[in-house]
Amino acid sequence: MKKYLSSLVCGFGAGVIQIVPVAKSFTCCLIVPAAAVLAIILDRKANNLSLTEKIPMQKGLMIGLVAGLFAAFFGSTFELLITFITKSNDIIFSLPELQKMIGELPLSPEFTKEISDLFYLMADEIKESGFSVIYTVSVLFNNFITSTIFGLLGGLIGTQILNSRISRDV
Amino acid sequence: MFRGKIGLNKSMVTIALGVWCLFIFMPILFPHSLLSSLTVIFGKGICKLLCHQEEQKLFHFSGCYSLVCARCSGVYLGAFISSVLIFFVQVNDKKGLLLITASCIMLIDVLLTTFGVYPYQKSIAFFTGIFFGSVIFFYFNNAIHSLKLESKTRKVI
Repeated sequence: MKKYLSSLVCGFGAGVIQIVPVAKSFTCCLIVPAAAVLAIILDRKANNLSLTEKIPMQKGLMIGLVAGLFAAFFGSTFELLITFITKSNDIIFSLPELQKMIGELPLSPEFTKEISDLFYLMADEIKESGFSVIYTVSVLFNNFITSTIFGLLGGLIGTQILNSRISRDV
Repeated sequence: MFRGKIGLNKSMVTIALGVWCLFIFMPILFPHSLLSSLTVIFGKGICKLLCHQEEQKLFHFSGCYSLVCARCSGVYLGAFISSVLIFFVQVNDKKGLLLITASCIMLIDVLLTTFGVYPYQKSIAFFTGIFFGSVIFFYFNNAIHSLKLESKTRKVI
């Protein structure tokens, strides 16, 4: 666990930022890769690596992956917790807009109704109990897939940039 | 140094990026089709995690909108263009000047539009995105190359 302490710290930070209204839009493209890079830098400092020592790419990749996983875990947990406490979320607010958008799509009336019913069922469950299985599954699925990919990318590109800076300085 | 050897992995990355670009532009490439409708329903939620999706910043055609904003579209398209270019071109950027330049240009545009110095223009956002995406892909490619070298060295040892 100590090996991935930096990933845990940065993943937690990214998870917290994920629930901030404006910042959450940049979760994947900025926050998760930045958390992965920061985790690599922290790991470097924690292991007292000399300035000339390069980080193995595989290590950078693993740190990025774990940071992404932690970010997804904490981000999902906080989001579900806030939904549970407030019994409200973005989907409830955007439901009329969503309904309008689905209505404009060239789909069969049955299919449109099915999708609308699904969204309304989810919204009703959240309003009543603050919890919806469909919402939970979609949040977990989306967060884990995207955060993992962007964590990996951040780890890989971050290690490459940090290593190229080292070889340049040497 | 970025090498340009044609390999299965590189081709797969190019195909994956191509499919992704097609996915984000699907609603405007095939407006009002069943395929684009399904893309909007299932893709909007996923892309919400990647982009703010503000309506005035999305590309639109015939009342249909792209899944991500002009800048994000540029980044992904730039990465795709680079993934094709690496088969033919080698890029040397040991000093990281390209990355710094691309990042600065994009950041300056973001800041100037955010603080209202000039209004948001899709074309500028799109082209700064393309530049940034293509440069970041070169780093990604280089990183994959280093990773392969590293695992080969480990096998030898």
